[in-house]
Amino acid sequence: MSNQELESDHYDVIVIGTGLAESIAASSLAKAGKTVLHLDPNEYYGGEQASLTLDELIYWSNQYTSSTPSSSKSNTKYHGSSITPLSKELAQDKRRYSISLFPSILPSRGYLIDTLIKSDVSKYVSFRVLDQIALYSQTDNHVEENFKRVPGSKEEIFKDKSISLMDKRKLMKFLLFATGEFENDDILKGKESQPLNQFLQESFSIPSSLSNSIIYAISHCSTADEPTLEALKRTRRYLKSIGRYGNSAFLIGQYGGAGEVAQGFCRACAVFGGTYVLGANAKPTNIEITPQGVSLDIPCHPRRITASHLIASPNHLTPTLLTDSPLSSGQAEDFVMAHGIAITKTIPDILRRKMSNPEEISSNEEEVENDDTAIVLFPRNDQDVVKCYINGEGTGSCPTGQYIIYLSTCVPSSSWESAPSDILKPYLEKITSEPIFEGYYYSSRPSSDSTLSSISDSIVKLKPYGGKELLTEGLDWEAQQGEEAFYAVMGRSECVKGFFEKDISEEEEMGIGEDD
Amino acid sequence: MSEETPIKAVQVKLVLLGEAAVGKSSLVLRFCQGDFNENTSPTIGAAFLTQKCRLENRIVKFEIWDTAGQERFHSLAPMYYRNAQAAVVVYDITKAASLEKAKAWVKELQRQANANIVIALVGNKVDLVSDSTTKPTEPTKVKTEENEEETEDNEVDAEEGEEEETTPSPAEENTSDDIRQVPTAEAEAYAKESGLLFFEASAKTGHNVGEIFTEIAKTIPFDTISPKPTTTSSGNNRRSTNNNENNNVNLGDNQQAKKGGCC
Repeated sequence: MSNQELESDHYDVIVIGTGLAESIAASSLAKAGKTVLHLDPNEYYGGEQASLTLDELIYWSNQYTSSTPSSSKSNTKYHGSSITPLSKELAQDKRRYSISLFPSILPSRGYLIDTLIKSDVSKYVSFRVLDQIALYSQTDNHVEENFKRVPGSKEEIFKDKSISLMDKRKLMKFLLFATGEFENDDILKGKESQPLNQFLQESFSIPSSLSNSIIYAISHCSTADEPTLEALKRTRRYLKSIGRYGNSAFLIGQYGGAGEVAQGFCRACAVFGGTYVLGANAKPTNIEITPQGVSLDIPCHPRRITASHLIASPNHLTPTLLTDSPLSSGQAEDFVMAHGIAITKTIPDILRRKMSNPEEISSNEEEVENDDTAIVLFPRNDQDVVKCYINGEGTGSCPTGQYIIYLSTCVPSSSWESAPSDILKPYLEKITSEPIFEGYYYSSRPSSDSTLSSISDSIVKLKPYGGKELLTEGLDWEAQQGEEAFYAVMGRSECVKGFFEKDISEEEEMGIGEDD
Repeated sequence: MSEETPIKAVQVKLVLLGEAAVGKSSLVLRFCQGDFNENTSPTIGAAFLTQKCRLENRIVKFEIWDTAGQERFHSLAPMYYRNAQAAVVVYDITKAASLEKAKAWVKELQRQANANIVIALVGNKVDLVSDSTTKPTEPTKVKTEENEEETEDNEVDAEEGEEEETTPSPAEENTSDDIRQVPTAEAEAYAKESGLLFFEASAKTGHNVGEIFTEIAKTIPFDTISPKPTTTSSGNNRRSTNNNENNNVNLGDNQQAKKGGCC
């Protein structure tokens, strides 16, 4: 089977890498009738968005132990990686974990959710609603009291006894403003680039006790001084996401999130006729531009393979295929993030407690389960917030009674001298004192204006997410990249079918075999 | 199969595995639509098909996943196996190598899939051989309505196909022996020792196809996937299956639901 060759020497599109954007592009093009060859030199699906078993994670981590990143200009780089050895128990269960290299939650409105629905991939990738968002503030009291659950919806704000009536009014006024067409509102005029914390204080008299909740837990900013307009636009989308599927604005992908979603799109692509080759057999070499498109070699095929288009992220393209983008300012720095992954059997009770909601309990016959997904935010003075994302057994990504904890924060590039664990471990310790596994690494991603473009229209280069809000924005970025790649190949015209556009006959067929 | 349902159907994810061109899709099409298409293209164009199977005391609704060609370069995604409660591993009785491949898939299932997955080993294309002696359990009802050449993937020519009759003559038996490369006893012994259900079937004639799925439905340990889960469970898969059913969001519904639970 490994010696089998491909059915054809020519494809309309070759996609290299099975990251989320690549997989969405591949399936949308296959759906539109293109012949697609999808390659990934990795043994696993998902590329930068992969969800890995523990043994795969160890293999992955061992590649990036160097203390400095590579000098490559346009792709995501990893370095400073270290992990604790596996205990006997973990080694035995290593395949029962699905650990994300791209920990992220999905706003209920946005590119990815639309794409999932349009493509029907939502039928075989499962999601659940994020249980809670909590803000950490150090007090001298009992450790449990340091975590404060941030109300996720209007109802929860009304019920929250810790907020005074007057503050509730201010908060509601701001939320109403942030949900509306604030671009033309006089309140914002001239203050578009004012730091958000200042804007909240001056324009809405929000007390500092409350502004952290808005900045970090509702707007999901990395810093309190993010420019107001930018933060507001994001906030509006999150606020409008509340209530679509639940009381939270966010969904969590089961079984490791992004990697599973990427697999779902790859499956859709295969169903539409796409060909898949993974592993060493799929490693492309000698990529060349030809008058008709591109050509390349892969080990599993004896002849050169040609295609009209090639879609890839920059790490699969040699420097000769890339050129400095005219838009590049040349001096934008990479965003550097410190990441932590831990597995534990204990988290603070407050993060597991259901918000008391009598209405919900009475209407639900099932036993009340504990919360097991949470976002915890640790604001830091003059530094970026530390974001913590907890996945319990209900997400299917770890064995019963365990939690996977993802930590991340943006750091100045000067901090490379210290290990990522120095930055993040103190925050992990606030959540659990006895992790059974820990791993840390740095990632650096080019900010969006410093990317390279490809030298030919036949090569469609995908850009990695270049912002700080990977946790809440990363998935939608990938979906948007996938859609752009689709149109880069298909062109935008009236006579071409759109991104995952259905035939009329297909619309009619819908429902057959779906007789629930 | 489509009578009104007095009891709620239990949904079962079933995955198909086996070498390319052994007739995986054809078996499913036969089961789901009662159809056999001589020229089934390598992919069947749907993420999964569903078909109900009625037992005495319950209805099992199979959600049948085909490989969509992703098995060819060993690129089946982990999501394919995820939460599968049953698997049908198919080989072609006229190709010895396909049984070896099937054994490799069984190993892969034991590595990747739920511990309590029910696996059926199915030797397909018995319509190409006619020696009833090797398959004592089946009634000799093999009719060959179509005399055209088989699909591109098997080497039998039309004349040989024509000769398959209900009562084979000795001469024909010889032909059959030539074609059959996997003796029933050999595959059956392997299935027995590995704890698999075993069938020889024909997607073309429909022989034994329904039986495969009925037997799987009977064999699945339903206490582990019943809607009322036992809360104390040791296996993580079992627990997460339950959680799926209870907490998953149906994105496609586009519902303005207040709560996250589906249905």
